[in-house]
Amino acid sequence: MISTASTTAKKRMRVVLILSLAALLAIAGRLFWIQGINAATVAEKAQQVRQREEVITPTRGSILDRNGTTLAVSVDRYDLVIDQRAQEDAVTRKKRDGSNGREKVSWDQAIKELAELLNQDPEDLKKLVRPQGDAKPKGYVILAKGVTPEVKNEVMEVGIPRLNALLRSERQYPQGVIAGPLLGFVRNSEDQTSLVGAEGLELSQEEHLRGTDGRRKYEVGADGVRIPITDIEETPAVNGQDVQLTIDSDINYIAQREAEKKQKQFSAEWVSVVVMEVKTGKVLAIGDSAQLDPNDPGATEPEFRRSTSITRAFEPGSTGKAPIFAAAIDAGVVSPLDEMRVPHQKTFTKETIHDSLPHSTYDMTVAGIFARSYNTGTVMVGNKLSKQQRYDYMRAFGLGESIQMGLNGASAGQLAAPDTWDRRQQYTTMFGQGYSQTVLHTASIFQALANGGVRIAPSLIDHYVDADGNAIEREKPEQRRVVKKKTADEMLKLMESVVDSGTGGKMRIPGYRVGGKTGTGQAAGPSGGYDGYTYSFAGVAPLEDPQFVVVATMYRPQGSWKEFSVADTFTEVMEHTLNTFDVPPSSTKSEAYKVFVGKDQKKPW
Amino acid sequence: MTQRAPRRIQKSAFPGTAPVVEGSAARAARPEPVPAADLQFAETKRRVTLSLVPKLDQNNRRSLIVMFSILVALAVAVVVTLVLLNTTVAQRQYEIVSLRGQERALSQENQALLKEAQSLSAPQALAKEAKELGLVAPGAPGLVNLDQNKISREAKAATKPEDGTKYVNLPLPGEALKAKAEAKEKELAAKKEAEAKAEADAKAAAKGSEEKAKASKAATERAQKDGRPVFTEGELNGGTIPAPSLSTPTS
Repeated sequence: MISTASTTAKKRMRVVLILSLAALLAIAGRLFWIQGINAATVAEKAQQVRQREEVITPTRGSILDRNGTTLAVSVDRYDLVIDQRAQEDAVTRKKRDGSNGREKVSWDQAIKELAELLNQDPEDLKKLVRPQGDAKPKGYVILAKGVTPEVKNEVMEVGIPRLNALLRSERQYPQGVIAGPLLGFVRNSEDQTSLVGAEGLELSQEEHLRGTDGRRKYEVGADGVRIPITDIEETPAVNGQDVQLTIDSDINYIAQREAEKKQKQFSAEWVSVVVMEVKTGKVLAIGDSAQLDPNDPGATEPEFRRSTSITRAFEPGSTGKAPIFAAAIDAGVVSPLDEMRVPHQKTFTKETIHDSLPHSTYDMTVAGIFARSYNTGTVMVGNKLSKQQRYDYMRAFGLGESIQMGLNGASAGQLAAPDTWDRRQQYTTMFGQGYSQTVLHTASIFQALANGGVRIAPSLIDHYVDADGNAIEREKPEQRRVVKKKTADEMLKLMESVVDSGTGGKMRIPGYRVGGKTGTGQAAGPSGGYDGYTYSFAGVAPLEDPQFVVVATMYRPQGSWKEFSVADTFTEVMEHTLNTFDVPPSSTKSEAYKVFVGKDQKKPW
Repeated sequence: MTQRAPRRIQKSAFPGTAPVVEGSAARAARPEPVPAADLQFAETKRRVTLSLVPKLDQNNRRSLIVMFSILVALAVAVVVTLVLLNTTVAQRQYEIVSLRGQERALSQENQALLKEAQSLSAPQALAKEAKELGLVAPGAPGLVNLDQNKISREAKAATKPEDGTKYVNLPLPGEALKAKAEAKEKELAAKKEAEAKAEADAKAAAKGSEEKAKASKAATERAQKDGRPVFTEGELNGGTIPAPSLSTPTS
């Protein structure tokens, strides 16, 4: 009896032992599986639950003028978004008077407060905040876009639940219209999360301005706060580079103001003023008559959202005589004091060339022809060169090729190859008709002449500044000798003759020696014939040591042609530029050549 | 604190021996246990007891207690330090989050103020301010030739242009562009004009209709120039042609 009982007990104990061992084995096996074999997968799963990964968007670089004044900057703005779902019948919020405790307010009250802050109509706002009628509540309704941080903070105090503020970057142009068409503007990226350049420098400098995205990986607890002592993997964002321009915002303001004034005075289609530094080819100002505020580009006519100084090519007229005279002097076929008999109309191979006004036949110097801008004389001078020679010089001055300095839509103008020139075109190209160029081309030609014959490719961007404040220099703009130093010096004297005793009498600036060339070009209309005019003046000062080129161009003015002039535009802008850079007044005497052969220099036009 | 084991002797230790006394508190007559050391290896069946490990002396015991308490204290210290450390780190984490928020808020304020300052110092804003203060653009500066000790040009006094045309200004930052503003104005003007015109038309129409009514009274059914018959307002009843009327035949 006793032995049977003890055997049963022993048997039971053995079973329990085996079971326990089995259970232990199972647990050990599982443990081994989790910790040993499958460890990586499980750890990863856990990691995924805790881990958050966010993209750190870099700040878009600023655009600065040459003095460091901010022209474009990115700032933080908020979009206010509400989730209409799962909202209660009233708003429970922290008391707004700062005391502890919570209070309940009606939706109407909360919406009224919100409407005041957002400056919106309460009724309209209500339609956004609350689901309408039986409509299904929406999960994402935008109440306001681009709200300032202050407004966002106040809105958050209203305490509407499920109202979120999403951080957005906004582009601001604190100077408003200053250099607007140069800066261009931005648009939302395809995924609507960032801004990308749409026009102008914003577009062309996108690569520099944008910066590089950063990434941050970290682990969060249930409360959404990062768990301390966990690893963070962070690739910091690299902020975009600042672009420092060669533009001087003060001079640009004057240029824009004068351009607008001139455009209004004669109801011209557009007026453009370019200021360029002679010794560096740096553009100091581009003033367009049509203002573009990059904060609101839609307010400007589409065709004026880019600078007309670079997009609009036109037949330059008499300013185009400068490269021809330079070519003739450089080739040694004429010298400034060579004498010529100039009638007001002359026929070359069956093509009759007129001057703008009839005048009696004069015995003039080559400089005199330039000063009085006689077409007949110009053709007599230009004819001493072959077509190919003239074409080569024109190309060397940069004609027929677009000027790339960071502005999109740059026009190359049209300069046909000399073997395609027709019988008349071979003569008209000598006085600025039959080919086209932009205002910037004109400025570039005069820069080369004033810089001892060396053309420096125009530039608008001085350098870049990276996120750490280090300046990154650009590669040096291309330099090319177009004419000899001696030729360039002679051309300056010719230009001085224009202002002293030629067509540019009104362009004098007290105290400074100024030289330049006027130009009246015929503008071709859509019907094919000429039905308008382009008035230009390209000037250089001070002549003893040229510093600046200012080109003012007025396209298709309306009204009485006798009054058309861009003289005051030129003098105002040039004077201001000379003053800004503290250029001392000229102390040397004029080196202008005499216009006519003989003593009498004052002959009727 | 004797370490003596209770004197419990298993039955099986003395097989075959019956209890000497049963049911009595009297001492059992059994041999006194002897230490194993004294036990002689005799064939005699003598009781073997477990011997005691030599007692720890007092000093040793004390050091053990000290040791123990140090260990405990150490453990407690470690735990407390860890907890403190953890809390501080967590606390700092929250602080960092809130400081980040503060930093953001401050930088945003900075941005806003900077923008305001920049907008206020924009050339066109300065020009406007100067104009309001009554400042005028300078005249030509005077020139002194130091070599010849001569004034080569007299300075010109600044003059205030009467019509103020010299001081046209560009739109200020944040100001709507002129073209846009003008367009808006035009639109408004056009709207007003249209309204005025509509009003005038309505008046004229009212006048006209009155006259028409008179005319129609004077000469009923007189056709207008274009052949359209003239109806009274009552006949039209707000429409353009009178509703067809039913007349019951009387005969």
